Amino acid sequence: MGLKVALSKIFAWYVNKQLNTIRQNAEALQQKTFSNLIYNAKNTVFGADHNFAGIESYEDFKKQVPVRDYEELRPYIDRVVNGEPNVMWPGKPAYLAKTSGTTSGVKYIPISAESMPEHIKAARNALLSYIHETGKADFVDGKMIFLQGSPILDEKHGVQTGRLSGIVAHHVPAYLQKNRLPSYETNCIDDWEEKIDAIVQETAKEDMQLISGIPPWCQMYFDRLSAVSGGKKIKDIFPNFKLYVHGGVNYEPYRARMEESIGFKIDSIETYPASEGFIAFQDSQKEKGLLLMVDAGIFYEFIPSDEYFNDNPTRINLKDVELDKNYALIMNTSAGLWGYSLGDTIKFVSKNPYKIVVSGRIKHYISAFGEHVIGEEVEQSLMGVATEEGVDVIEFTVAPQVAPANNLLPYHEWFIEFGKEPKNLEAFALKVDKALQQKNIYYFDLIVGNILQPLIVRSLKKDTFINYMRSQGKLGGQNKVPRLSNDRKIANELTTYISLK
Amino acid sequence: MRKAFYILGLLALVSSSLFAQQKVEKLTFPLPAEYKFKVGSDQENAQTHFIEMIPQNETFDNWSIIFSSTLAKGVKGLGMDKAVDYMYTTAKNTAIDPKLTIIEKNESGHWALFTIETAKYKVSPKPESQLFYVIEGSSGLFINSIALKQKKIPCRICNEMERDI
Repeated sequence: MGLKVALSKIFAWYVNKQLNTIRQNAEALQQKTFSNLIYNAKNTVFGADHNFAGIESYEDFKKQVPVRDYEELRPYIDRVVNGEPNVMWPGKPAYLAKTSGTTSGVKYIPISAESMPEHIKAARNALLSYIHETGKADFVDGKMIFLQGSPILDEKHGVQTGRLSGIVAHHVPAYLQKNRLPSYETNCIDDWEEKIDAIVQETAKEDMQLISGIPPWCQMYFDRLSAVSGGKKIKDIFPNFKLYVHGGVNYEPYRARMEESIGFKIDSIETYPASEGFIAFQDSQKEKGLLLMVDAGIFYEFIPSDEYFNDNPTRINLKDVELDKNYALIMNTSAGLWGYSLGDTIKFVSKNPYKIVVSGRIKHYISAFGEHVIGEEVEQSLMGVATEEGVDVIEFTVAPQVAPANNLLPYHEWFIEFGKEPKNLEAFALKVDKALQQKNIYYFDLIVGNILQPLIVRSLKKDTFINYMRSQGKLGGQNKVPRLSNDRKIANELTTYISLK
Repeated sequence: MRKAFYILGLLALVSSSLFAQQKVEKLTFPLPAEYKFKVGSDQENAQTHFIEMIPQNETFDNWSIIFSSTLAKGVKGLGMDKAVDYMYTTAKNTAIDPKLTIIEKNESGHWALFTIETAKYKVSPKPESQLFYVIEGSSGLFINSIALKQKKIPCRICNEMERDI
């Protein structure tokens, strides 16, 4: 009868009841989390250095604990990585999650015995919320695939170390193990292309019902599946494919192409996981935004993103946030991160309950002339015009060209790999430029004031971004192409891929 | 008749508020004695405790009767109407005209005994029927079922269950 399906509905009901508590008591839960975190860490090295014993309020905390990025916290994190206990959180971490930073090389993010279950709980609750709202639970009995990193972990001074997705693979509940693909052996393949081909081999004949992974790599999986199946749509390969779970990047730029590959508009759940903590997930198919996890051992702080690089930026907690304003996300966690700047920017789309959208990266912006164009603005501008024009965008990145040849005005240079190219690239570029002007008043002023010329689109050859990521050793896993850079490091590499037609 | 039944004890640990002692909540569930059951799987995590039992000489791929017991930890206040509805709605999605029979239901006592009988499924012509005993305990919701590859649950099993629980 599908006992597992029926049981999932019962759990979904229960989890929804619990989430209602989160929805209704977010500020109180954050205050409780704050107190618990400070209390638990008061005897750590970090707690002693920052006088946690004397902290009685958030105002006290702000005076004691500065906002820091990974590099600034590194002296403490290095001690954790070197096996010293009680540095940032009591004891030693359960895991060290390896992530690749843009400036820091390999970063090690501690995951504690307390924080690990929160990652699993949030992922599970995202699915159960979907079941509760839609009543759709058949996928629980079907095959599921999680495109993830290798579950093989290294050991560093007695602490298991690996990619977050590889660590999480060790915590998939037993009741899901029977349905889960790929096999452990395939999951252990390091080379992404070899792995994706092995996954295609393993899954092509299976009844996949749920697929989870970062959109560009799922797209690569779909493309290869389709190629080995004589060009079939995914719906014809997996007729019962019902749900796509994604995270890591904004899905919107990928949605049209993904749905084209799949063959229909599939239900999807957006999640916002990070090695530092599982921050939010989409708890409704009907409402915008991701429900902020306010009782998951994370105390959040926010800095208005336009003040982030100021000497004394405004620093607030949940109760003081405003809707539709971009904030840099600051985390304090039950794994021992304190005043930690994640590097992402978010916006609140609801305060009752607290729901967010991820709007970009604090360091991914273009502000060659003070325009401060952010990821959300370029994504929305491009995708809005692309949808209107029936243009298919595979991937893109934008960089400033501040010193063009022949004394021309500077401009924003957009490197786009099209699935279906616009008929008139220049007209398309002008439309995107107009859309961006409407979204960013500073950009508008610079164009009107003839400081900048309208943006220029460079059409890239097929598979440019896959080839570029391969050349960087960043194919697959949790790796993503930055949508915006304030320098031309990526742009200069991509110029060799510009289509000459 | 009672001696003809094999009693299974499903253990659920409930922490006591005093002295950090552990209390044990035990649900006994009568199983037909003519089968010799073995534990096929026993999985427990923070949210569930799930046990499946099949006859000694059978496998999960080819069973004639299967017993499963799930403790949904912490799940309270669902109500028996909803519990029955979740089971029945799920059956309707996969089966052709499944028949629901409430044998006994006690909302205030938080328990229900019912069957869902199916002559055939949308993807399989084979019948399958289940007898459910759902009860809310102090540590969560217990969902116990006996499934048989038959169109109907034999009256004998229903009657004995009704009397013995």
